[in-house]
Amino acid sequence: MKVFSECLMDRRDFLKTTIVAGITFAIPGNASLFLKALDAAEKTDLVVAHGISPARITTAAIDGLGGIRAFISRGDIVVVKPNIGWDRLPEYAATTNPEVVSTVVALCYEAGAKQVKVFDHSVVDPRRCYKQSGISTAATAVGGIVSYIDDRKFREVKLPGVALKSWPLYTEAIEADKFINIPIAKTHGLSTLTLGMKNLMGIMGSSRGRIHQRIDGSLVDLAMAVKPTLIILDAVRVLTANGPQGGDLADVKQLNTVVAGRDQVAVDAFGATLFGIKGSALGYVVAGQKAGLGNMDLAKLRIKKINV
Amino acid sequence: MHDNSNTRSSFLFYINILLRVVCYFCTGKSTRIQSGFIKTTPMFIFFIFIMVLSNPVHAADLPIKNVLPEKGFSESWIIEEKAKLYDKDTLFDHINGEAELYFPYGFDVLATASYVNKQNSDLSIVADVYKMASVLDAFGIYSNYRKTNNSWVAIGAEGFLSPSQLMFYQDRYFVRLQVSGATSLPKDIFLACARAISGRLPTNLDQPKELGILKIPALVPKSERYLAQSLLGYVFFRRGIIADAVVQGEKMQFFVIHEDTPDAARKTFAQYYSYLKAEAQGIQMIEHPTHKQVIAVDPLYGGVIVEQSERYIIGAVRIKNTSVAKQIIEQLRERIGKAAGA
Repeated sequence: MKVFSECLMDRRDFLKTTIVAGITFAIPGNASLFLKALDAAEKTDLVVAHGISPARITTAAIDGLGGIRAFISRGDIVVVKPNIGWDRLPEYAATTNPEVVSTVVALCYEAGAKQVKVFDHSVVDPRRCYKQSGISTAATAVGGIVSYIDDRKFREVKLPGVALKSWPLYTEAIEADKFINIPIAKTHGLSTLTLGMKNLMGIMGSSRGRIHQRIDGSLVDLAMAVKPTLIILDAVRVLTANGPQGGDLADVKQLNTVVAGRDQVAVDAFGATLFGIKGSALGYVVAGQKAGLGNMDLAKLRIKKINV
Repeated sequence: MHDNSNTRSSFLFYINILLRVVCYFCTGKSTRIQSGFIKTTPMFIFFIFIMVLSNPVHAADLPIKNVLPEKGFSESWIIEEKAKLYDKDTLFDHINGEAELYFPYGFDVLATASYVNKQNSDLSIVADVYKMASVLDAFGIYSNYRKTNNSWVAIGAEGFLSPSQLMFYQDRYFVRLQVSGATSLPKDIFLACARAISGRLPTNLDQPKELGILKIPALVPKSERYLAQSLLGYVFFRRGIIADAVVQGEKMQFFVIHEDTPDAARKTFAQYYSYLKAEAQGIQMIEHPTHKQVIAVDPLYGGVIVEQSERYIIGAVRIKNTSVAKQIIEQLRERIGKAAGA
């Protein structure tokens, strides 16, 4: 019964879309505009949105890639993976901006997602991290299903083997219909910067410290195994020194920027430029391109910049 | 009872054999062990054996846990739960990739605890006390966070305060206090916590003696940083201290690399010279009677002047005016001479 109901909704959606498209094409001039917009969204590799409202720039960045419906389908179970690693208020830029997270959660529901789950493998006490980051409250307020990591939900997953052959990964993340990665851009003692690929470590189990010596290859393995549907890089505030935990407002810079893309390497390569360095200076970006995960050559990417 | 008695007899029998073997190896003679001795010594050995088995050397047993106030540091700030300890294998679990920063400085163990405000449980201070390999190492990790425009506080060998943090080092210990649940905290609360911890640390308030050589007139106060690996990013500069200097309005950085012997210093100097010959431009090697000096344009740091003096490599980078930089090098050489004389 439930399945039938979902199928019926899909059919309704299909009919609605067909009718809207039909009307659009029927009006002279509209068809070409519609196709142009569709074409532009498909051809855009990255969208960089700038403005004072985290919610509006997040929405604008996603719209620039064709809107949330280009990524989320009706009935999807979606995992939204922010950085909730630290016991820090949002002002410290150690964790993802809560408004960016809640905006993505709300958009997923608007697109018809069945469930939107939000979690991260916090470094310190998760109760404090979830609360102080503001993410728990913000995501819950828009219907997000916020949960702490449950150690029983990790499953050994085979990885490509650049550095890791297998690793326990969080079942809910790898079994979701769609996975949206929402890192915050900040400095990091181990990997220079933590951006999208590094944020995936939050779905790793076991002793993550063990990958120290093989961090670049390990991140590529992880990124190849768990390819996010969409990456939203939060650069509303960035941590410019003493990352990843920060703790001093003097190290935080307000950039009021959100970057969205499908290509993990491209997003991280662009993220590096926010700190005045090239993507090629980050080992995992170079390794990612070499492994065919994406493109770090920003000159060859179609980057759309939006001011909101 | 019967079983227990048999077990005890067997145990004493095996201990008897073991003791005979030990005595044989020690004295070269076969020895008969007296029954009283057999009954007491094995029990003693067994007791020690059980003690060792039940108390493996965990970081949790190190005395560092005593550096944090057990109950609280004032009536209003009480410990949330017992202090936790992290060692080299587990530090990542507490500070993630930032752990990599601590390892070159001989990180030994970390004690951490949260002190919660009685009136507002969302407000707390996280106190981290890191035990490092030496005073220089504790200074090294501290100097990584220090900024020249910080507010200084009279705690430990040196300390600074920001609205949300207080850090200091004392002896081999680096202490980091961080407010949680707010972006600032009154200074007196941070100081109370810091003093409570400082009072439990070794009383040595000396700065590392290695800093003495850098105390030249051009030094920008509190700009020294000790890097325990790859000074300037060069692997052959294994470790050293770098600082900012201003001479006649010109800003530059100068550094001192401490090697164990003059031979080791000569070797390091030769490695840098080889690197410059391959990568740099306008290299001049000046051979003085007592030392060699190289002036060049380093590909990463611009104008550079470097020389080897005794077991030290001293140099200045980002220089625009060589004659100004030479004054710094001369002052450093003098300090080294004085240090050697002392």
